Amino acid sequence: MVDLTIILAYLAGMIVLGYLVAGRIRGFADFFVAGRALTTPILVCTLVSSYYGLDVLFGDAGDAAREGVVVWFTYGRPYAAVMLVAAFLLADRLQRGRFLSLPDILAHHYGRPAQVAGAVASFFYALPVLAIMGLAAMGQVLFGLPLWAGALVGSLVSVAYTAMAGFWGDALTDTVQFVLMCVSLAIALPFVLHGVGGFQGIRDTLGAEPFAPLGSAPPLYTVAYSLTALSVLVEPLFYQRIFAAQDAGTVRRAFLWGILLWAAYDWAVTTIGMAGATMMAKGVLPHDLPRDQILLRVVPMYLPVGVSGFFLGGCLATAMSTIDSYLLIAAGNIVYDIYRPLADPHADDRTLLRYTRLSLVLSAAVSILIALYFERIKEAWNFMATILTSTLCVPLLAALFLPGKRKPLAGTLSACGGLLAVLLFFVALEIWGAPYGELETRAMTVRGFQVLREYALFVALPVSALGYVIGALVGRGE
Amino acid sequence: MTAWDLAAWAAGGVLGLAAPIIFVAFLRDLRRLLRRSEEDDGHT
Repeated sequence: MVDLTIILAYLAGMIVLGYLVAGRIRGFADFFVAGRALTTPILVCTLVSSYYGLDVLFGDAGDAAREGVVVWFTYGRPYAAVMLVAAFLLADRLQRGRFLSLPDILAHHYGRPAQVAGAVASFFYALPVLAIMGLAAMGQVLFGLPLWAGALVGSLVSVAYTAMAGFWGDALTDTVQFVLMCVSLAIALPFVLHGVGGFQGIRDTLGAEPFAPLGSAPPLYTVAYSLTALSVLVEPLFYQRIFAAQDAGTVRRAFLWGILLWAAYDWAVTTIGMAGATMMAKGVLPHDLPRDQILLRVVPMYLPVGVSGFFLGGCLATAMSTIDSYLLIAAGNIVYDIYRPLADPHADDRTLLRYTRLSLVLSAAVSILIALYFERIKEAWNFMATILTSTLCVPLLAALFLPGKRKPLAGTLSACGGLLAVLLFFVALEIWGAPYGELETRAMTVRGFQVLREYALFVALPVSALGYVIGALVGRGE
Repeated sequence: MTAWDLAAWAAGGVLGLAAPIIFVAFLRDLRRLLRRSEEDDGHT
C-alpha cells in the first residue's frame, strides 16, 4: 500500500509539473528544443535519464545474469567511446547549424527525399518500445496487470505532461526522474550485494566464467553487437539535446558527466544482474524466471517497505523519462520533418504545435502495439538501432564532415539504400532464418556460413556507402 | 573485499552523490532562467 501510494504520488507530481510549465511555451522552438536555453546541469539530467531506460535497467541486468561482466566491458564501453567522439566532434558543427531536428540536417544538405527517409528511420527508432515493454513487465510482476494495461497507464501519463509542456516539461521532469533513478539504484546496490555475500559469494556460486570481460560469444557476434554503438552518432535524442543546449561547451561538459554516470549505472545494473543469477543458481529465485524480470524480482527482496516503493518509483522514472523524450522526437519527425515539408511548408507555430501534440498520442499507440509484439528487450533494441544506423550513419556523417558541396542524390541513395538493405535483411531472416538458441537470436545459413541477426550492419552500411558514392558520381550538384 | 566489490561501491557512490549535487546545480540554474524569463515578460 505504501509502495503504491508513492508510485501514484509520483505520477500525479509529473502531471502537475507539466501543467505548471505549459504556460511558458511560446512557440514551436520553445516546445521542441526548449528555446535553446539548456545549461549543463539540466542537460546532464535529461541526457542521462532519457537515454537510459528500462532496456538498460531490466535488459542489461538480464544479460548480466546470463553473460556476466561482458555486459559492462564489451557491450557498454564502445558506446562511451563513441559518445566521446560525438561530444568533441559533433557538438560544434551541430550547434552552428541552428537545426531543430536530425532530419533537418539531411534536408539542408540533400533536400526533401533524404529528409523524409531520415525522418521515417528516426521515427521508428524513437518509438519508445523498449521502455514500454519494461513498463508492461513492471505492471505484470508487481500488480498482476495484463501487459497492455501497464504499458497504457505509463504511456498516458508521459503523453499528458509532454503534450502540455513539450521539451521544457520533458527536461524538467527528467531532472526529477534523473535523481530518482540514480539514487534509488545507489540505495539498492549495497543491500543486494550484501545479500548475496558480495562478489566472492557470486564467484563461489557461478564460478569464474561470468568474470571474463570479453565473454564467450563468437568474436564476430561481439564485433557486430559493438557496432550498434555507432547508433550514438545518429541518435536523435542526442541531436535534440545538442540543439537545445546553450553552446557547444555546455554539450561537452554534459557528455563527460554523462559518460561517468552511465558507467556507474551500468556497473550497478551488471552487479545486480549477476546477484540475480546467483540467487537463481541457489534456488532462491525460479531458474526459469524471464531474464528481463530479474532485477525487478531481486531488488525488492532486500529493501524495506517504503524504500522499496522509492526504488519502484525510480524504475518508473527510468521508463517515463525515456518514453516522454522519445515520443516527443517521434512526434516531431511526423510533423516537422514529414508533414511540414510535404504538405504544408508554411505551417505556422500554432499548427505545428497542435499536430505535434496529436502525433504524441499516435506515436504512443504505435509504440504500445510494437512493444506487445517483441518478446525480449535486447532483441527489439538491436532491431531499431540497426535500422537507424543503416539509414542515417553514412549520409549524416558525410553531410557533417566531408568537404565540398553535397549532391542530393548521394544523400537520397545512401539513406534509402541503407534502409532498404536492412529491411530486406530482416525479411530474409524471418523467411529463411531459424532461432539460434545459444545466443537467443535468429540466424540463416548462407553458403555454409551462419548469418546472425546482429550482422545486419555488415550488409547495410556498405550498401549505404555504395549508394552515397553512386549518388555523388551520377547526381547533379543542385 | 574484491576489486569487483570496490567498483560496485564506487558506482553506488557516484550515483548517490553526483545526482543530488547536479540536481542542486539545476535548481540554481532554473531560478536564473525563471528570473530572466520574468524580465523578458516585463520588457514586452
